[in-house]
Amino acid sequence: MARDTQKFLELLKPHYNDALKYSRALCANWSADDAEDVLQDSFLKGIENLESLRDDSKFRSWFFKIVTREFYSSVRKHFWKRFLPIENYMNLPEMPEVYDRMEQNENKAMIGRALAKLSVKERAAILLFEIGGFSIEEIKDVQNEKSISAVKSRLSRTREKLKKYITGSNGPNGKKFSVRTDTNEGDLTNETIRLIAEAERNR
Amino acid sequence: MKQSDLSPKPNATGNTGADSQSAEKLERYFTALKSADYSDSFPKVESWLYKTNTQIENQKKERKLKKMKQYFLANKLRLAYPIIFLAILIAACSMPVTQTETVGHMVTWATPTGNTQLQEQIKNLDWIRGAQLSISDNNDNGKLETLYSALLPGSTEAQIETYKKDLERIKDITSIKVYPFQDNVKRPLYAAALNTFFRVNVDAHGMSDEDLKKEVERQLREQGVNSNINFTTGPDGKRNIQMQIPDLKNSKDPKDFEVNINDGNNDQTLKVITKKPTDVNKYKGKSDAEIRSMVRSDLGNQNLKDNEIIITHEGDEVKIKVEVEKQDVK
Repeated sequence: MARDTQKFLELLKPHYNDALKYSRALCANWSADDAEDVLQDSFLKGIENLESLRDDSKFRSWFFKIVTREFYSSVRKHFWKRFLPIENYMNLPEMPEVYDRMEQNENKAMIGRALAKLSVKERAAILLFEIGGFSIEEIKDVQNEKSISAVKSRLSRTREKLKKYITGSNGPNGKKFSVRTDTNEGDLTNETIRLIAEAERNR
Repeated sequence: MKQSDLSPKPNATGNTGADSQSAEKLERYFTALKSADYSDSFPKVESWLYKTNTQIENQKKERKLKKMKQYFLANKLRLAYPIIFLAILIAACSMPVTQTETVGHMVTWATPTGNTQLQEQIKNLDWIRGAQLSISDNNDNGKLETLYSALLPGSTEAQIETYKKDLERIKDITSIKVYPFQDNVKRPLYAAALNTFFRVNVDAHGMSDEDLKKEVERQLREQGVNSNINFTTGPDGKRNIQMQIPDLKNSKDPKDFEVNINDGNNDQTLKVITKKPTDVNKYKGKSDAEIRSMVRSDLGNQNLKDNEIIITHEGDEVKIKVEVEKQDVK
């Protein structure tokens, strides 16, 4: 186990900063604590499953895949957390704070709010491309997609959505879409908005 | 790493200006995200990961122990029975039992006194050298004779029979008598069980019938069983065995044994189970069908056919011969 940890850290070091940026951007509308939870689970899962990494040169995409999956599962956990107390059953030491709690950056806040309006898959795809610097082929693998065209269209659609959200143009229901500043909701909220809009359009 | 440029292109709707403006904004926002630097926190995370994983490992071990403990507590009886059974079995097998065993023999005979040629003949017997010999003269109503007594520790009954025959062949030797020395030997039950049973294993690959005969006879002789064995190879390449063991019916302490012959693809097992004279009495007054049933049960072979169990009645005495001696294993 100690040997696995050492190897994992050696492989992680060159990609550490990018992984943290990606993770933080994924959880842009969450608190720093929640974002750190995703990161903590990703690190522990990474060490636990290090044996599954056949080729060390593929570590970057392998680890970003873990972060992405942990983010997906955290979205689900985030939803259930409102109803059920989910405790840290392992009673592990708290991960040190890595994200700034007092950060005041208008640009970051703006993109964070816009990202929060995307579906989890859209958010992960655009951030893998923009922050992770992954190719479409690699994103296809990370997101377990069957075709490159699915990823391409997802990226193009997401970019369009982001531009609309940022410039404050019309939302899917024809109403003026404004980016909520108080949002700390998971993707379930976005999905609900999308489904209501779709239902209204079909009426 | 990126394969394609997904940045927006001017469209035909005339929104080029607004589009490029929002694209610029988006690019600025992404740049802001990319500009973050968390590298300084790596050492903190590194030491936390080492600490956490050690703790996880310890917790896993503790959980494993706890699970085992719970399993043992929940299945106390289920686990206890085999252990108790095993302990009883070991204790029973180790329990010493007393067996009477022949530890040697004394052979005595008499010769006329002063016959030097006779003395020389006796001296030349092979087995005399290993015996503790005592010689004394005796006057039997005016007839002078020399009394010999040879003490042969560790000798088997089969050996003694051979020695006796050697003496009988020498003219003028009279009054040959054999006295077995018996002793009570204490040994564990398992050793006692093994003592009355032995196996002869022969790898007959490349052995001629004659060599095989010698080897089987040699191994049987080592166990105190004199036998007369004949091997013949049939036209199908299979060996046939004929075995005569005259010693066994005279033996006071008969042994059961098994002869295993591995002969290429044709393994053969020959089982010989001897019956003590007292066992034979149990057949008295029984019908042939009852005797056959008893024999099958004694031999543990219910497949024996009626014609394979030959029963002859001589007065009250019942003689039983089982002619299936060869058993193909493969």
